[in-house]
Amino acid sequence: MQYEDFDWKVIQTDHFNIYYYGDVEKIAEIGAAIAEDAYEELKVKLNHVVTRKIPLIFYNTSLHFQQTNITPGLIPEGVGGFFEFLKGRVVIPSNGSLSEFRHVIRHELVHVFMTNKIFRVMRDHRLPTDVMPPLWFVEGLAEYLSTEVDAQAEMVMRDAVINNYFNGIKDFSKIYGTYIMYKAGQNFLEFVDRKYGADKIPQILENFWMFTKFDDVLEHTLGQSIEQIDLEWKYDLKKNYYPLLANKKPQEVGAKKLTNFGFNFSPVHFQKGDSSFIYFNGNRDGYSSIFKLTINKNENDLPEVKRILQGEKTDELESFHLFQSSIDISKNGLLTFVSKSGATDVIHFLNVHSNMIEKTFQRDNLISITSPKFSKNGDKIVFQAIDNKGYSDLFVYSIEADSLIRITNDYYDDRDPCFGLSNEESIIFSSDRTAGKYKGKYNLFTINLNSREIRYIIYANANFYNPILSPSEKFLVFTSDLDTVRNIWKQNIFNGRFDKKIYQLSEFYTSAFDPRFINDSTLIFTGFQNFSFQIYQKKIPTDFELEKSFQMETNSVKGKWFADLITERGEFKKLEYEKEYSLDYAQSVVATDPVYGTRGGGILTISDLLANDQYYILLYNTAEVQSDFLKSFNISLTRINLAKRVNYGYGIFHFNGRRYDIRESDTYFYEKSYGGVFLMSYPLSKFHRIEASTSIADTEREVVEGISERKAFILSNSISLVHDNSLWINSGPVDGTRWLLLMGYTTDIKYSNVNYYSLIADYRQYIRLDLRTALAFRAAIFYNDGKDARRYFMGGSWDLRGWNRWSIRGEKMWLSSLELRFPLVDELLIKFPILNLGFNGIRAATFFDVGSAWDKKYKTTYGSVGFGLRFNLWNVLILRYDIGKKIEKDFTKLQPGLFYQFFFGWDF
Amino acid sequence: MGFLKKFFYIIILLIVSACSASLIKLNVKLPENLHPVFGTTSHRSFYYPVTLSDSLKFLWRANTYGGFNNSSVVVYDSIIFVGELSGRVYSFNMNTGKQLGVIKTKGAVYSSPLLTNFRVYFPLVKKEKKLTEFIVYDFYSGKEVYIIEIEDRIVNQLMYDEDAVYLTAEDGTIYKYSFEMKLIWRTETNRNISCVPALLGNEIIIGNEAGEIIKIDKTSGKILLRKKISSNISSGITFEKEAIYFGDDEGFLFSLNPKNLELIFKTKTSSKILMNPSTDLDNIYVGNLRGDFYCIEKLSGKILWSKNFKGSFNSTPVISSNKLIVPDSFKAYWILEKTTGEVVKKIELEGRAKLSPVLIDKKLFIGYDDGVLEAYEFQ
Repeated sequence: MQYEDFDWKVIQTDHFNIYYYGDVEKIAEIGAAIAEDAYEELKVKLNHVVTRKIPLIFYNTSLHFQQTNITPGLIPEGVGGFFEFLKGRVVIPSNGSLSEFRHVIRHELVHVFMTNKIFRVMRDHRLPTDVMPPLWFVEGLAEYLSTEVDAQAEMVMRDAVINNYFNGIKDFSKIYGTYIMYKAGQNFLEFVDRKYGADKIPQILENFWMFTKFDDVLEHTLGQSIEQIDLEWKYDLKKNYYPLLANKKPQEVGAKKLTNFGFNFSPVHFQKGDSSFIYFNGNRDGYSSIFKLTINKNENDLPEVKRILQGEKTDELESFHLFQSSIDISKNGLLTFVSKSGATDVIHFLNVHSNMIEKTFQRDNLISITSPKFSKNGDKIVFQAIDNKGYSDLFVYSIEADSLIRITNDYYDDRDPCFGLSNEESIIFSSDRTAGKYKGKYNLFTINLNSREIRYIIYANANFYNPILSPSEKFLVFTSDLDTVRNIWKQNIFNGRFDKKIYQLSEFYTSAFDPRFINDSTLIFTGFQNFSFQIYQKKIPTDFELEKSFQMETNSVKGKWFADLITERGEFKKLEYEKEYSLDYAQSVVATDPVYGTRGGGILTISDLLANDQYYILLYNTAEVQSDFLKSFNISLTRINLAKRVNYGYGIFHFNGRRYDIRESDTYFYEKSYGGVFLMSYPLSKFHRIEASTSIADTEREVVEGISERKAFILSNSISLVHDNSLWINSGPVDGTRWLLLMGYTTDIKYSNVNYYSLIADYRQYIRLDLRTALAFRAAIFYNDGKDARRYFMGGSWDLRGWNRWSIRGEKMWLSSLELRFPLVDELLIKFPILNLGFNGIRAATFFDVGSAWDKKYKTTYGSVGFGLRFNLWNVLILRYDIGKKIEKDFTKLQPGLFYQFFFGWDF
Repeated sequence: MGFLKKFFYIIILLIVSACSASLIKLNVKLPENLHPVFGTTSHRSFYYPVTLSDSLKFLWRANTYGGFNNSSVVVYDSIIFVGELSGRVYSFNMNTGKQLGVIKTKGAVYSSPLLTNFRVYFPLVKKEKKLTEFIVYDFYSGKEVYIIEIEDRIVNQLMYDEDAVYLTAEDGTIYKYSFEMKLIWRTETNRNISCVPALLGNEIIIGNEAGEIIKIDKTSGKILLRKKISSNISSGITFEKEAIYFGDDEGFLFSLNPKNLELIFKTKTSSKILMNPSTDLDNIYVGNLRGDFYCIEKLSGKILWSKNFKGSFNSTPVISSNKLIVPDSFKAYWILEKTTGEVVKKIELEGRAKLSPVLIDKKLFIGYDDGVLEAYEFQ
């Protein structure tokens, strides 16, 4: 949903049209310079130029990015940007970090260059252009050409190879669409670069036309069989990663594991009397929530975990940003955490004693907020936020006084703040403001809250995050990729001064995040291991026990770095955004049959570049004889505007021809109608919306040719309230609720032939019994009453199973279903002599349906009971097969024998 | 019904035109104009000693079915021939642009065809296999004369002399065939080649992906000298008596002594060089993938001037006595003042410049994306 009214503007450069809005101008100028640099680099590396101006659409945060209309549907959290194939648009949020912004721009531009190059290669050879390499190659190439291997890439590759869930080209199908697939694809291309030469990579694209199978393209370009290439890559992976086990540990060995399933992040410790608790956020059941873990006295037992607050179901707690934001707790039991609520993020303060949210902080200009941390006495918090300009800066909020102070204000990415030493009013934080020879690295800094002087705590050629002072303030703990992946390090503080030597506390071969103290000798942290994030506890060794240390340079660094701006070179124009419409989609069809003759038509949609304004045009002709040709044109033109929070649309139509309307009768009739329609949708929140529509139509219907049966000038209005917070898996929803309330009124304002009102109430609830098993319940009533009211219908696989599809009709209808949904077969592999057939995720359901439909007088109640199988085919089609018995004769008798029904569609 | 009839006629017309005969049959005489191979000669000369005016007149535009590789048209009398990537070879009237014939095959023609003795020679790279058909077509009689199969991909430019044709395969094999398609010798160099080779006197010079320059005796096929010069050589070789010129993937332009392959000089440019360097009497003209174009002194390697353009350069420019005509992948051919690099004129295109330009009788032949061929005349 779109909360903002974006005032779009355009910067035109040599190769790009950059679209931005409001205060994002500076970030847009920086992004334009990054894009031009990337263009120059890619044209050499891929030996290709893109000759059209590439549209780049910038948003200041992920939250604004999620409001884009360029792709329909919801954009999940964690999507860093996308390239849209239809019009070649690139859509990217800045998210506060210029290095990440640069990475994403370059990544998406690789997609632009690659798709354009493949299109040109195929077009030059006059071959179909709608082909692409496999996704692992597409994303791997984008990563290979946009970034270097960083701590995160190294972490996932080490984990996948050492834990043996990824082992070569054949395993790409196992990790399809995951972050690991991106990084494994990047790793493969780096292997190709090292072994076969960087020039082979553009050659793969140039040779793409030659073979139907991509493996053959690889074989030909690299000059070896795919089996041999795979063997050598696998050997390369093992050679790189297996030796790590000699002196590095998995987290389970180097620390105590406190959680054992799901994704768990950001632990904080709270002591209440003799009881010790850890609070953390995580996703253990499909929804992100906050959990409490009670530390057992018996160290061998896995602690008990209890959910204290569920997110993603209500407007106030839309999302907890698990991968980005941490939580904190004060000594008196106030837990602070961030959630998305409406247009921006908010900070909540939860009293853990009462389990109530006591206070919520929100400012309109702070769009995205992360990682609040309490001061020692708990009266203030410091946090990172991204503002309208897209700057990621530090803020201090006084809870009692409800006052906010901005600490930094520039385009450097200041993050992970915590309050500094008690004897000075300061903040310790991580930032990419590092200057000098380690320019842009995330080092650690301290800022004095009075003088605003910023000093380095750490100056090194590595990234440092998550600083946190020990309770005694004798040392600082943080994570760093000094050792390639993120491990936990310690820096002693002597007389208020940070030592120049740091010690490595953990030597895991994968990464650790968010270390927090239980006390000066024990840490808790999040660790990534075996493709899951778990909470761990670790004793802090003394300095004498620590083997690895790093001595920092004593040179003081002065000055700061400046980002390149596009204003300094090439073509540079600033323009107002003007809508230019272009085709999104067009399809036509011509059909001939012996009864109705030849008929044909087409549909096309056009929209502006930002997809805010969309036109849908439908045109077809249903003439059965030549003389009917002119009068049998059917045309509709609809405009939908999505530019603002209120989405609206209006249109006109003219329909003329033979109709079959199952709601009315089983016979065909001739109808001509023309009129207009107005539509409106207003999202109250992510989970609720109001929809309204008005249509007016002049209709004339003939059942027997030449005799008018009904003329009507129909005005129809409806308004509805819709709710949906359901969680879906591969066959349908398994948790949450969905409901719809609709009221409508339809009347013939000219002839008084039609006059009825409509009510629909449809409620569905899904109660999860375990992770993949759910009890689903539906109760619905559909009610039309008045003159010439239309009929509802049911029957078939989607509602009243066992009964003929849409065979039960009436102006009034009710329906209820109860269904137990559960997994049946996770993986089925059938081996044939010449091929294997595999099926994944076959689910099943037992069901009980009951309902009825009638016009004036209630007739009978229908029902059915049975068992069904569900199979998701490539995530586009759910195949459904149901077996059961109908309950007949006004619910008094089961049918003899069984019904068997096969259809497609999602579970209700 | 009228509409349906028209529709039917259009379909028939489309079918007929799509099924038009694969034939080039030309009533030609011994040529006045001959531009028989990529770079006019096998040692690759892109220099035309004519003075060009600033005024350019558009003559005609023609289309081929497939797109072009970075090759060029070749010319026999007043007929131009061009190969394209959907596997066809076309002939057009040089003055009118009228299509005179087409040889239709399945595969891709990467090289400029070779024209000699009323015959057109071209390698056809096949799809789904590592196979090239080397086709010899007699355009006087309108018949295929020879087709031989080579188990390799010939995507490189051809060379020829008075009695043979030389082909360079992607995997580094060099073939010498007589004009009657008898294999005379075959030499394995054992490294992939994407460099355009050149032949002068009795020697063939070629570069490879290992950055080696290899000198081969054209009579015996024996490798005379092999020297590691760079990391990877993908650019073409321009072979003159006093020096050979080529670029490498790191952006160096090299000048080597052809006798011993000793370095005369190397000049650094800003990025990878793919084109053949063009030379006139005094200077070398070369562009790279970054879009920088250079004029370099032939004797010293000193950069006399350089200029940056929006696109990149991977097709070879031609040089006249006073002008340069430079194909730019960013939808342009540039006409530059030779001595200063100053832009005299820009021919704007609807796609990437692909063909190296060819000048015949002050007529300029260029080609770009989607198989568009255009002719201009200097007034």
